[in-house]
Amino acid sequence: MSDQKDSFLKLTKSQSALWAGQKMHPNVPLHNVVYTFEITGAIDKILFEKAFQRLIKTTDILRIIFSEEKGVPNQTVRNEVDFSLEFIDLTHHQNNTTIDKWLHERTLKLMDISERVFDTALLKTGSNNYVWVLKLHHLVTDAVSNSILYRRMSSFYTSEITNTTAAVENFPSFSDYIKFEHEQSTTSVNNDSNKYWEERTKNLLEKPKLYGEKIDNSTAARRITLNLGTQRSQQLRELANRTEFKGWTEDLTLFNIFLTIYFSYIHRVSGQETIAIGAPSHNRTTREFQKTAGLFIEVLPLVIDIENEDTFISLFNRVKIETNNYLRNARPGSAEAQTNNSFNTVLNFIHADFPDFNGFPTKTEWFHSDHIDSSHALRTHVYDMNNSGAFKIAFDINSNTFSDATAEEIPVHFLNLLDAFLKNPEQSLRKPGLLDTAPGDALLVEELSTPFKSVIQSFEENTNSSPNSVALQFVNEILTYNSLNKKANQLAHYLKAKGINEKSRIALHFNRGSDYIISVLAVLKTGAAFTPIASDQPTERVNYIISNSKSILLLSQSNLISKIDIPDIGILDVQKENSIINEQPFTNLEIQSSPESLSYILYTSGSTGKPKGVLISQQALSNYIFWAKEAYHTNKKSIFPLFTSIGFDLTITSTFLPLVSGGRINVYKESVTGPDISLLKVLDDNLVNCIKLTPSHLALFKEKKMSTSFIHTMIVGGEEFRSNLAKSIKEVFPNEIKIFNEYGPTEATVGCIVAEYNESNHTKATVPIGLPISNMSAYVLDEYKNRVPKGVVGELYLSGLGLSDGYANDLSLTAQKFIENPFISVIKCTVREIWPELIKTEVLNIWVGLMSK
Amino acid sequence: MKDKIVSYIKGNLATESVEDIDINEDLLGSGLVDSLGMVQLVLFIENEANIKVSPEEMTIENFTTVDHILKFIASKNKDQKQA
Repeated sequence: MSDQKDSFLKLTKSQSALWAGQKMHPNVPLHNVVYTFEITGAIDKILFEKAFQRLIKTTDILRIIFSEEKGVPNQTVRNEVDFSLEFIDLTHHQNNTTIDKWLHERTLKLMDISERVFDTALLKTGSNNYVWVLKLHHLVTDAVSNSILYRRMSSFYTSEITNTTAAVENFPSFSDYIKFEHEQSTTSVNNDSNKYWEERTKNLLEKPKLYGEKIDNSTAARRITLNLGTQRSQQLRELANRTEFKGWTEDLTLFNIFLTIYFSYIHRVSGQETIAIGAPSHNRTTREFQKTAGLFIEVLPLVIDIENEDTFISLFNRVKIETNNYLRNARPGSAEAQTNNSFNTVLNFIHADFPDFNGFPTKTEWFHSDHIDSSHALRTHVYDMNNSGAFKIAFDINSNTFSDATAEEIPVHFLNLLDAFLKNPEQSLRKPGLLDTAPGDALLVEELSTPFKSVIQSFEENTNSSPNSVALQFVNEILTYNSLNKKANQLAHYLKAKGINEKSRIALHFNRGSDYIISVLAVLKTGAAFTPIASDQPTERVNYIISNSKSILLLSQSNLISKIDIPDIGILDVQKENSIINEQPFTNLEIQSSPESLSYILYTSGSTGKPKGVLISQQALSNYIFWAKEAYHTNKKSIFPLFTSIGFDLTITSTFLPLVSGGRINVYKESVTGPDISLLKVLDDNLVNCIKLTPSHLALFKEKKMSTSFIHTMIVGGEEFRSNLAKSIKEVFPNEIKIFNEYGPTEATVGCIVAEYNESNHTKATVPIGLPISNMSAYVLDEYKNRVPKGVVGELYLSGLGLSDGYANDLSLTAQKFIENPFISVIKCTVREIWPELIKTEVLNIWVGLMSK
Repeated sequence: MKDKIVSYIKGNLATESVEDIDINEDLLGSGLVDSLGMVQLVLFIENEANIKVSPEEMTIENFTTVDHILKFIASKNKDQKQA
């Protein structure tokens, strides 16, 4: 024996890839492969030791050690290795946690592979119970290899026990495979398949971002194991044997089924269409290799383009062909840097099993070493090592990429797709919901805490309590609550006398000024609804809005009125009619608007075609305004500028919020010619402390000295709000200012989702839009109206009190945009009446998924 | 061709040693050849019969027995001549 020399060998491609991974993370147990075999039966430790010594002698991988010279790794097969069995008697520590803790520590312990690539121990856990722990470095083994070692060990132990002479112990050696692999890689045998892998992976630009998360380059990982159970596993096998699925072998078909589910899953949680998945090819291509212990597997990619109309079965059919290509090109030595870099998820379908040990019932467990390759977000292993008939799926989840909450959802989402596939393979792979929760869970219903109050009621209450507070300032004109209320009442009485009532719709075409505010209040006091039309609107559009909104009356002012030419409408010039209006009574009209009646119709520009009028009820307006009063802490001291177009949704805040808060509106008239520079005047005057504006407006702040500004509250809406802009605005102000990012389409009344900007939390490029306001719900749904998991892009749907009643004069668009709420059916009836519909928003994808605190 | 195929299966692919293989024996169902072995057989046949087997043709129908394989090769040869 001693005249035999140790042999030196280079590393295979697979070994080199593992070696490189370990070099990047030298101090973590990336490649500890640990199995425990719980044996029920009496084990003789002396004979067990002898059997293991025979195992070492007959199996070269247990004698391999690794070294590195000038950066080049080598492996040496030693001729002899000393071994004495570590035996630990835990009989008196019948505490499972002690054993688990010991196993966990042992699993994580790094091995010095320049000395030994394995670590084994026999634990005695009861008079008739033993646990054989076998740990190997992945550089020399894979699952099939472990099964070979296990069976060999079992037969050696039996032969020791029965004292039978050893059979021929000339097992094929891993060294032979290593040499074979080198030959394959250095000759032209692999040319065609190498070309295939290069072609297959060369145009892959992006790796999927699961749940929107960019992969964190660290190894820490968490394993969550899912037991599919015998019934489900049996259903999978039955499916695999159906003619339309059946392939060469049941295992191959099952692999294709799991691959189809995995591709569907990754598509669903990343939105990506071209997806590469890594799958280990077992590579034991000859009968000899099938009996050889060692690292044979090579992880190679399968690449699939998910198509729009894909069902599970149509995807399965393409996966089948892709697998055939994969199989015919998977040769020893195929894995290269380019193929390794093509995927960030792995599906490992393990064929190894572990029967009884020496005739004793044995349970095999595969332990995870808490670390995975840092370039992988998710590694998924399907196996049935105990031949129980039930598949287990182990999900190794990159812990720094995914939160604990997301990690725990991963198996749920996968399983829901698997079950959907089993139930109906012909359905679209986008149809089944991923989330497990009952549909009603999403909707946390808040009971209405306060009864309905109209904005007019609130304004009149403020008039009663503080009649002499300033309500409005417009250039040199100052109106107290009392005088503003009187003027509004006079106009309202005038309108009422003209026959205006709760069913009437009145268009308001004004410059910004006190007349506009008075008119708004007057219209609402009569119970009618107003449609604001800004002074800068082209005549054609003004005419369109007036007729489309079915307004019966236009209130306007002398300079604007001349352009209007609609025959069937009353036109009232409030300036010209001033003397008659001034003769009307000052008293409140005491008309109680019902919550369902319209408050205003707002026309949005609409990117395509004609502007569309959004119908907003009294209740929707009140829901927003009174929520805003609480959320933004507005009060008697609040002073808002009215400086944005009266036709804009966001101006509703500046129009009503100060008046319901007992505060003040400072009205800034728009420039008659040229761009509207009212904001600059607002900033120069420095008379306001609250402001509602768009991110575009904020850009102007940077050029202004704000060191003496009184502004303490900013409500930003209407556009995407970049975090760096928010940050720079905070810096411009000397005092602490609160910045709120308010989101909402006109159809959901000004703002229905809001976040307060928080410099330390909001580190992503865009400030999140936040969470729904009172009595509003938001859902992010996919095309089949399934709720999408957190981080997955979907479309935003809104429901609640703030929802519009639909579009003026356009039933078909209303039917298209306002849909039946699929989540409402479990909610009790009173709520069903309040939340009748969801609206599909046109929100940009960029905002979706940003809903968080 | 039949002898070549049978001897290749016997010599290289069969998971257990066998005396002879009947041309109607179910290679896959009997577990004699596994899926990676089947791929080896495809590559062998491509070489020997000078045909190209597309991934779509790697089906159970074409490869379940030696007889099926021979018929498949014959049909491929016919196609090639026609083409």
